[in-house]
Amino acid sequence: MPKLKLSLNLKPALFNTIFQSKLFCASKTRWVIHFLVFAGFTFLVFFHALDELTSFNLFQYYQPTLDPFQFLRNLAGFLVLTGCIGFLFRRLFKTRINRENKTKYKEIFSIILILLVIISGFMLETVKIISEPAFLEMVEDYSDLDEDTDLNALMTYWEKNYHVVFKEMLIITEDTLEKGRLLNDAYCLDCHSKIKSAFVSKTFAMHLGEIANSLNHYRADNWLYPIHYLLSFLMLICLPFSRFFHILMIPFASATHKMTSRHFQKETVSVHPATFAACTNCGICSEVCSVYPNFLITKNKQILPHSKIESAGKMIFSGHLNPEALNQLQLGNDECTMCNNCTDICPSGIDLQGLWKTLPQTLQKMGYPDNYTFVKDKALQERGKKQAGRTYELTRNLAGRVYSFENCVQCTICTNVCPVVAYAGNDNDMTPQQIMNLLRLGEKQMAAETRMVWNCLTCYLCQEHCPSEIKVADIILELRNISNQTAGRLKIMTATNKANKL
Amino acid sequence: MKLAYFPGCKIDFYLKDYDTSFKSLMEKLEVDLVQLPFNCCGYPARSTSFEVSVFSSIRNFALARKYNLDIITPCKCCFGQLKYASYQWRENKGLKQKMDCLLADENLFWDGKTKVKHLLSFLYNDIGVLEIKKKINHKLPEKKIVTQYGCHALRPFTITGFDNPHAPRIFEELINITGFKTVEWSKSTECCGNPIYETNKNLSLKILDSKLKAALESGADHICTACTHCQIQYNDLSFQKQCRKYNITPVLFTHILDAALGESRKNNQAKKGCRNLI
Amino acid sequence: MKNKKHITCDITVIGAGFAGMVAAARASALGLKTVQVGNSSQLYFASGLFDFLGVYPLHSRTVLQDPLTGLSLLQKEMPEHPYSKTSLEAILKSFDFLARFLQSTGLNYIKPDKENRSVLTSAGTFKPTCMIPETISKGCLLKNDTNLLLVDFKGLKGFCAGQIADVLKKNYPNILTLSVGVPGGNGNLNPAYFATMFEDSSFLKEIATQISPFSDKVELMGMPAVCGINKSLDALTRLEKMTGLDIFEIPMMPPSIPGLRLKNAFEKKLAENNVHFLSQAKIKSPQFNGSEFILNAVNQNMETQIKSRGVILATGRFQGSGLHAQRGCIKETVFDLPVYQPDKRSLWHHLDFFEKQGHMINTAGVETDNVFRPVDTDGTVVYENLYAIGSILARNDWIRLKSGSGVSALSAFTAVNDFYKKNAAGDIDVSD
Repeated sequence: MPKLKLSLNLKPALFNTIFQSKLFCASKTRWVIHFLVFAGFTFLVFFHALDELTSFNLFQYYQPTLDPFQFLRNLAGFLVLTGCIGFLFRRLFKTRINRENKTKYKEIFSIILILLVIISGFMLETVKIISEPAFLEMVEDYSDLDEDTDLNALMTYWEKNYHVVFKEMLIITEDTLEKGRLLNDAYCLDCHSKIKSAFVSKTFAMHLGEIANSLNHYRADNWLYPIHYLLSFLMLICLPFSRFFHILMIPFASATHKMTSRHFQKETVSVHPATFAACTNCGICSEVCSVYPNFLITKNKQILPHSKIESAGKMIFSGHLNPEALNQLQLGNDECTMCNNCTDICPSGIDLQGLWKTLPQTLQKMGYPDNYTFVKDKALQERGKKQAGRTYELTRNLAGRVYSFENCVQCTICTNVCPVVAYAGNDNDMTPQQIMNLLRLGEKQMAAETRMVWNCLTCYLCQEHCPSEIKVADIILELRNISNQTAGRLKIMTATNKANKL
Repeated sequence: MKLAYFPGCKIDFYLKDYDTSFKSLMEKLEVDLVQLPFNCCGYPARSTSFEVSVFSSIRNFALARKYNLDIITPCKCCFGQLKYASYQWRENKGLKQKMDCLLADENLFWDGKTKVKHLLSFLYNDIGVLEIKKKINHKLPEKKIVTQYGCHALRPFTITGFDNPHAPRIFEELINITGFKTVEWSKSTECCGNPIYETNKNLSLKILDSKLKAALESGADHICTACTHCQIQYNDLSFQKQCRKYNITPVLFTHILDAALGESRKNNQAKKGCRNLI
Repeated sequence: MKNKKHITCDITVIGAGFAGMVAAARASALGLKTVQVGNSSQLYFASGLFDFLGVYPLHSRTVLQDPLTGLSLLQKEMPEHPYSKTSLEAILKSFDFLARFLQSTGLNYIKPDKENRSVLTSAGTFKPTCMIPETISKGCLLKNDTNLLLVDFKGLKGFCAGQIADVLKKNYPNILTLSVGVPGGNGNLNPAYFATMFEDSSFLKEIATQISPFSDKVELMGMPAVCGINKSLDALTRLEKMTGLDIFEIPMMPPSIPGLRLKNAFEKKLAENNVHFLSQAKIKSPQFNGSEFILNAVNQNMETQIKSRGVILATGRFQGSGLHAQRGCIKETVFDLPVYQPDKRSLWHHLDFFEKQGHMINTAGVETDNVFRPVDTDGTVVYENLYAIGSILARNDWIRLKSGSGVSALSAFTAVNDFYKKNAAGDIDVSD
């Protein structure tokens, strides 16, 4: 478990939470879509869902059916709706860097949930607009109309202006309308703004046609209420278990003090606990990743930051990773060049690089150390017995071809100029010239598993000084590639054996 | 002149100073730098996979080729790797084919025409020592400098062609025109130890310490680097402490030349770096 | 397609061994624009001692005390030998130039004496040689009754004071030995790295404290030739001051430090003299267009086209790949020049390995005129401005004659002077 640390850095947290400033820098389209949903939904939550607490207290004459609230509610809903459609469109039609279907479906689920809440809201509003029973109940409650003609006039007016759908045909005349308007002014206007401001629901209501009557008959306005509520609650319940969680975590992640090179030098790197939950797996980090081309060849997903953080989270919090995956994670993380591109761009404000820096420690504890440590810790003989490794066929395969080292006269010049031999002392086992000798003896695998291969600085002094012009450093690097594969297999083997014993 | 600026992975996070002073220097020398979405040069991947390392480089070349630009980098390691990869790409037919296919997937291609220059070789070969000397308007005080050449640019010479691998002169000549005087030391062309800093810190620092000893013997005031990795290595905290004790400072070449070319008006950070030297 | 580059120069030196280095040194000292192609690491195998003529006649198997008598005899008996093409004066001048050149880099050599100097080797034997580094020179003071201290270092392979003393004890009874522990040593020291430690004053002090107890008992001290690389004399003098002893170095097996010092000195000075050095490049398909040589120096990534008026071939013999032994005959590798060689392969080697006259193959090589221009079988010069120098020259069994450095220096010096006289000098005196 990496060292966890809580810290607070308010300014970027606020900026990034409210304006999503980092997402804006990363991708304008994504920002637009995301911000539509974010702004709309936030408004709905605060001024519509929690109106008992907020709106009623803040605004003296607040009524959901009054302008500007009615208009704003529709507008917000409309924004969310557009945003969600944008989201869905991108999810379905835009292929992005190596995303697993699982995460894709997870996201689509979240988006559809939002969509359902919003649509059910709009439907609710629509059926309330057209609802005759609701109209009559309101008349009963809020007016003292006795005469049928009055009621009729009001109904005519509402049918015309508020799109209520009545079972019976009403006869519309100038007089009744005028009368209805007066009655409306007297009883309704305080609580009901003009319906055109509810522009989404109104449009729906106008196009319902024949269904409207049956909806009214079955009191759709009554049963859509619980549906809208249930969906909202479902969303609330899903909050900690789905992609929604990032909403709560991003402020924390953004508030972390990012690790600087100073921290790295002092080796005081820590990871914020919000790191893992704040990740939305958007994949922007992988688009700017310096070692992205490595993925194109090795196809190891664990090179890409967005996959790496997910696996790391799984490894740390639930331990559900098999040896193969852990080894891949170690290999992938090893490729990281610490260029800070991912941290720079992460829209969630996660300090990704800090995580990459701490990961190796955790992996080492689980039996997946970096290869230098691994080779150092293993006895030479033990490794010598193991099968020869598969090499990339496209390398020059210097270590496998006799002509590349047969000219070695063991003059020890390479050993003499080698800084590793000079300064490593007991940290080192073989010297470059001895490695050439191992190759001449046909012990390629043994040569590949010496500490020298991993200690090599790749300074090329040996190669430059070789009187026989043998590509000493190139050969050592090639052996390192071989050793890398063998080490990986051995790590997996050890871990599997251990698990089997348990 | 217009060149694609290849900063390398580490510079942004570890050594922003180098980045800013490099840019300021290039501005004074009227070189336009274009920033392209380059990826890693591929050197770190040489430990794990030959193919990956070559492909990373070739992809960068292809990006630069798309804009018809040559590449300039302040990092010796990146320079060396890009050279190395271009050589392997040319020599190894199968490899070339595979790289070409992968590039085509991303709508890129490379025909081998892009050149890569390191800061020093660019100044020496493309601009010329005399030309720079003309522009120097601030002679620096006579301080003793030892140079750290950086392995990957210098060796293997048969691939990089940087300078005489046994007795290089470029760096010295470029420093001597500023007023600073280079002195000889035995460790000029040896490794700084950075490549194994992450894995075997102990050894890495031992190698670094040997440099300090040699620099002390030569009586130098500064150790000058022109490579991101070397300077990062010299920036190691425990090493810096020792340097202060003996009054030696590792210093970036760009700071020196930038200072010699006169105060920078725009760039505050570069300015600060220059001031420390004057 | 490799990266292409073009260079035009006065003279190209192919080869970066000892002869090539001297030629490049002379050429650059005369102000010729020089390009050098080759692998300088061969100098690691040089002992750092410059032989003139150590043994003559060959079958005598005795060491020549006075090389001059040997030389006059050789010039008489072997008119085709490189030494016979020139005078003693020229030989001395070439040594003199070499000494001055090296001195300017801070590597001091003691100039030749009338007699050969005998230098103690790490095997306990004495080697006759002519010009030696100052750090080794005090070893010549060794007399049979000298109180000598031999020092070796724990962990430094290939040098054992006890062994040397054992070989010497018959003639030199007053020898003490000492094994010095190396501070910070890990039991396995490489000469090159170990030598750099001597340039650190604190290290010298610690060594000196271990040696000082012997200061009163002995007059002279011998140690392996590892005392510093770039400032060897300085380090040795400091050590002498600290211990109060006269100290000399004993050359070791290759890779030798005196050879490394030589390599560094040449490389540094040649670079200062603007000699363009193409390390590890090979010359492919050389052409001559009537006035200029067009050489393609090819290495892994680059192809450098050199246009040069003169070429100096210093590619060495088989080890340096100047000569290539094919099944039936020996070929010269760059220009395919005619090679003087035994008629049949069966004559290359004697059946007796220790044959007194040496093996025929060791006299194979390129034959030249008096200014070391290769000649055809009928004795005509192949190219006006092509010279062959160093061990590639025919009829010089330099290992047995102990004449390697002398022939190399002489031929390099003479060849470059000749080129300069003919092509650039006008009426400038090139004698020094």
